Amino acid sequence: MAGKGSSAVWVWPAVAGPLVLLAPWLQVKANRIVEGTNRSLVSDDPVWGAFLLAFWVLPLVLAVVGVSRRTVVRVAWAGWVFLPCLLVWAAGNVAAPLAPPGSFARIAPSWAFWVTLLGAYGGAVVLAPRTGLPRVWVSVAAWLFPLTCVLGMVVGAFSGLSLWKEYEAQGDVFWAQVLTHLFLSGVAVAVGAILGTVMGWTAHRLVKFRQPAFFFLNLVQTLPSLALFGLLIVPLAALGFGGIGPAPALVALSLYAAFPVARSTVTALDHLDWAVLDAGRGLGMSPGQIFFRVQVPLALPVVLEGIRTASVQAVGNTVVAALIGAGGLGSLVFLGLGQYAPDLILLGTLPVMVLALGLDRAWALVLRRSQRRVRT
Amino acid sequence: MIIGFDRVRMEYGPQVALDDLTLTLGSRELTVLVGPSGSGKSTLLRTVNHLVVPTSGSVTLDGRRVDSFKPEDLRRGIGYGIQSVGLFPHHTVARNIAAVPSLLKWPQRRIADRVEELLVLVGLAPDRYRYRYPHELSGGEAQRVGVARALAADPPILLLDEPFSAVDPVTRLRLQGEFLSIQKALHKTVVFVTHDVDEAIRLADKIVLLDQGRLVQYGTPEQLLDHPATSFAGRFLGADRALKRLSRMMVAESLQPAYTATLEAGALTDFRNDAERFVWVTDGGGRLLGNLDLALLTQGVGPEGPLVPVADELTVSPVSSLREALSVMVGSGSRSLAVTDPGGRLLGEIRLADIEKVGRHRSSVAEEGR
Repeated sequence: MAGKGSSAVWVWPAVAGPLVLLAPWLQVKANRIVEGTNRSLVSDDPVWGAFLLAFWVLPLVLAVVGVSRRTVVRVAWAGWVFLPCLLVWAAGNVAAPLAPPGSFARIAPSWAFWVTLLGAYGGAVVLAPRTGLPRVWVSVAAWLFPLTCVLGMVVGAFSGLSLWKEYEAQGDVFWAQVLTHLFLSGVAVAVGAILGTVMGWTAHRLVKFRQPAFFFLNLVQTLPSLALFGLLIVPLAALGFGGIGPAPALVALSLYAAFPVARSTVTALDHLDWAVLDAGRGLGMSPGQIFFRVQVPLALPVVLEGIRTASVQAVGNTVVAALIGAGGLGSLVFLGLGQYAPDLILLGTLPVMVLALGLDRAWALVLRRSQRRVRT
Repeated sequence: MIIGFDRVRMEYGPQVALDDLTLTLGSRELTVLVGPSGSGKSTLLRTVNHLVVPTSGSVTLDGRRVDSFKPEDLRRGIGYGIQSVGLFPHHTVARNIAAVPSLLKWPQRRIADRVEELLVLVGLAPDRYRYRYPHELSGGEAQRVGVARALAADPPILLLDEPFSAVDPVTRLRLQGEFLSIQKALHKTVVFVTHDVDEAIRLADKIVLLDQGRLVQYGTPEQLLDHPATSFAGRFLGADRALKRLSRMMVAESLQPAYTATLEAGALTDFRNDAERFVWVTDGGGRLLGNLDLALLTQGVGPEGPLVPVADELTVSPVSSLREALSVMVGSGSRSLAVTDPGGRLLGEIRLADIEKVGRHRSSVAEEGR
């Protein structure tokens, strides 16, 4: 077999298959603190093991038998789209009787689980364009795993897994922290977007302003966020804000968010076609009309691209804000670190990942709309 | 509208773009500003709609200084088209053309009608082009839209800064021809910038030749070609000035009746020839069949045998320029060409001797002028 993507059909299963069979895929602990024991698919769950292994082996067998390459690719792709769904479902299924409600036992997915998840996801992404299937299929397939997870949560299929136990233990705190997280990053992006576009616009108009402005923003970007929080404590305290809490976090996060917006704004404005602006002036548009009817609509897609970057970054940066008492999902992460509770850490990080990915997708939709017509 | 420049001076730092230029451009004339790059021609054009504000001196429209208008009002009353077209990429063709009318707050109905009218005028089918975006247009189509946009509010003045220089030569010739016929119908006061002497000579009622921000010469293309004011003007207009002058004259002006005979049913009739050895032979409907050496005919051969067909590219049309006719003559070694209409009917002939006469006549006028 030759060509790009064929290695995904061969190498992926050859590595991932045996790994999945032999490696620990669930870790069982009697309670949250004690050492756990590992379960492998071969020894403990041979039926699930054989079933899950089939997804890796089937494309290999088909390829060896000499089925057409497109069919092999399609079978492998379809298998790897379903594999993560089955895997989480299997994990929940195995865990449920081991840790019934009220028990202290903790069943956590272990690294064969994560390797299979990522391997299958990666394989499906690599193969998707080579299946020759309509784009709609691929888009629908991409939603399969998230939907399975949501469905599983709704029907309680994961109630035996440790992550779910941590979630239940946190109760309302979890959702409160999600809201705080969204509030912090949302406000930071909003303020950063306004600050960034204003700075970008000023830097575009005043060359003198450009260098100091970008020097400052660059400096902020290179400072580790924790250091920036620390640096802000003194001046903010002097201004009457508390040195810790949401206020300094919002200041720092907004500055972080301003940078990509400012840069994309300057780029967008600098690269506007001179002839278009000259034509606007020559046809008798006032400066305000040129700004709102020409510059804004033409620069908008690029500026929005900057806000997209800023919002994805902000969701991640907000995690650190928990360190200065601003709250958010970061507080779960740091609590988990302190208690040496990996599941609690995960309970903090997984929603952050989901939020970041979701935001990125949402922005992609908005941008496709705004870019459709602006081409030069 | 008369455009007056009075000691217009434009300095960019130490650089002088316009050097105390005084000039009056005629109303309803197509004036071409021509000169090498850096001669100040675009700068001069842009002083008219106040995009460039002169360091000193004044620009007037019918005697009123342009800086006495509100810039936006001034510009909305002056059509403006530029080399890179500058269509708004986020607006449809229709909205681009409607730019000035909508700034002037025309009613929607009137704008739509005007857009339709202009698309027809510049040769773009309204139904096909109205809702296209600029990135879906070819260079030539974009230029047409640019011209339509400049004409949209029916301004008395049109400023065009190298509007056709970004398209290929064939398209450029066609756009020039179309623009000339539009101008013949509308009679705007047009100021047109180009660095292309041929374009200037083809389009201009009057030419303004600029060099280093100074006026070198102002006059009709014929005046410039016949009496270049300075050695720079002579060089810029080129050693082939006589040929360029021929490009302004049409074959129709020097058309001569042809020596013809009609070939019907294998016999030559209707001879219109008294002296020449060669005749043009046409069919009964007047369509050119070829030419015939009468010397061969007398040897008792039938007329079909020695008849030599004439290739299409060796005939010229009455609207061809004398320069094209001369080029065909030189290329084919003929001393006369058949002039035919688009249907292939013979209208007459054009002779090398007549072209030479026209050229010589002008040259002798030029000699007397010294």
